[in-house]
Amino acid sequence: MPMIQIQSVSRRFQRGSQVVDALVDCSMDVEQGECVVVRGPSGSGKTTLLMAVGGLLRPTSGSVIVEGRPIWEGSEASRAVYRSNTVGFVFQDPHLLPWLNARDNIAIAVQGRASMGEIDQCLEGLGLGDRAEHLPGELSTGERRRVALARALVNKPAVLLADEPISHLDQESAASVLQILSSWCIEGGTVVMVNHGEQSPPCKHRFMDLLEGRLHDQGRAEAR
Amino acid sequence: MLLRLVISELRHRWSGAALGLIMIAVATSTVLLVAMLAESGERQTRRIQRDIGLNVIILPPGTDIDEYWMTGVATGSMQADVMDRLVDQDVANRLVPMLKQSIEINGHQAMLVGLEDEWYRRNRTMPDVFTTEVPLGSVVLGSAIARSLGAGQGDVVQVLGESMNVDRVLASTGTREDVAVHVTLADAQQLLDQASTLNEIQAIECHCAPGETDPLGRLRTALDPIIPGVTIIRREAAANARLQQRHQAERVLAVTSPLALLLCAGLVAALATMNMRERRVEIGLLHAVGRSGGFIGMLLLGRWIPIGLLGAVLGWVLAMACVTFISPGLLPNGGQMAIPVSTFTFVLVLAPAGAISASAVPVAFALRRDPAEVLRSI
Repeated sequence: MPMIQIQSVSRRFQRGSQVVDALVDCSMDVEQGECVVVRGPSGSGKTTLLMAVGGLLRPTSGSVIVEGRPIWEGSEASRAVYRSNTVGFVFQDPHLLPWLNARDNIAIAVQGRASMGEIDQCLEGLGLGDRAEHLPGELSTGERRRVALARALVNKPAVLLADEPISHLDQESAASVLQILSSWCIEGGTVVMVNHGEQSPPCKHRFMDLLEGRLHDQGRAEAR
Repeated sequence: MLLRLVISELRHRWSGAALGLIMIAVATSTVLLVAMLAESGERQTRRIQRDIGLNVIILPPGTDIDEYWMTGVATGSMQADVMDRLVDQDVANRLVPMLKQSIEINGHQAMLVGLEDEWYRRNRTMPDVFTTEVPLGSVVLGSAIARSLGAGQGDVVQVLGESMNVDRVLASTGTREDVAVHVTLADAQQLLDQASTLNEIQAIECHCAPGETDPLGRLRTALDPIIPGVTIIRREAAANARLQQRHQAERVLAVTSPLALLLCAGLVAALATMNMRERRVEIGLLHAVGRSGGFIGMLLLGRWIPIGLLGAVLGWVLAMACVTFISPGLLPNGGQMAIPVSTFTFVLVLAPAGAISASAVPVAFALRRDPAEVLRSI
């Protein structure tokens, strides 16, 4: 059974008389350990798709099944458990809490499984060992993005959803983030990453294009 | 974890926290001051009402009212045990049983007034305010009769053949009280040889509802079954003045206290709303990382516990300072306001609870907001 099954998902936004179909009848299966890169121009519905899979935005129709469970059929509390235990989310903006240092920004996502030692280990692994006590305002853009990545990975989720994780990063920082995603995938994690450029993780991955709300499979790319 | 998050957030947004602290301190002190002002006002009202005097006179059945007004003495009499039945009614309180008789002392006309301590409705205990306290075997003289007799405190006067010690002399009132010779009811009954007899009961009319059109009828309906044919006199001016004063005090209290509370709750709610707006991304993020609504709610509301506690302490101190410096100017006739120390615990509980309640609605709205909408729009 695929890790993620997206079945005929549509999402319509309506404000007054203006109607926008962000997703139109999208279907996709993602196997465990697979990395899928969803490409598309700005406003094509990439973030909407990730949020629907992440249990943050209810589709207008269709269903999202993760690990065999239809996530939009349960209660809000069950989705909170799902977001905590099954998925890790990396947002386009790191959304770090400005009043917490790097370590506490990661700890806030921990649900009793990871200890402070594990958090520090996670920070070390991402090259942020000496930045644990620093506030977000004292970190560079790339470092903030890596802290957000650490926050998403700290619970060792089955699925990692990354929304343009390398936008606004210099080449070196972008390569570092992509390498982390790649390593995660190689270790058996499932990654769905959206991007509007051509960059992708160095591991074996599949491209999907999202154009005007519709998904198009663009085939598999081998590891570099 | 939760406590650490709350403290970190407060330290980061210290200006907002300080503003909240000031608002709660002001709210606490305002509520305390309004409550204390109301209580002091009520005490002042009671004092004024006491000065107005007893306003209901209950006389024996068949009393000739004309003669009563001419002489000040009712012609009939009642058995003293009527008091046991009167304490259970709802229309008159602070009942003072009396036995009055015109007498002559050393050729001077005087009014012998035998009276007992006040009787309270349903046997409640309250401090006497209307009764002229007289020790058994002594007399308390009105100013005019004392002057006529040339008697003062500690002197002995002859009353109906009995030698009685003058306990004290009352100040002039400009009423028939000035020729009164007050003794205990028991002494009066013995001197007049009228054991277990009364001929007058004075009382305070109980609180009438605003707009009461026939207070005398109300008194009669309640008292007639207890003393059939009873004669009731309602001192209209005194009773109405007392009623108006009481209603006025209640109206002021009824308006000011909720207004102060509402104002303070509104200020805290406004501050909480500002805080929620500032933290909407944080709320969305916490939802996204799988934190439950309960955890996020506790984090958002939890900030008001330390702010509320500290605000309560500051507010209490502020109110104490205000009372010390402004109460002499606020209350005339040497009236004083005092904040009981016991209110401190009350305030310590109420201020954080009030702050949490006032911010509960903005927090509930913030929690209901779609996290995707917030996180996407940034």
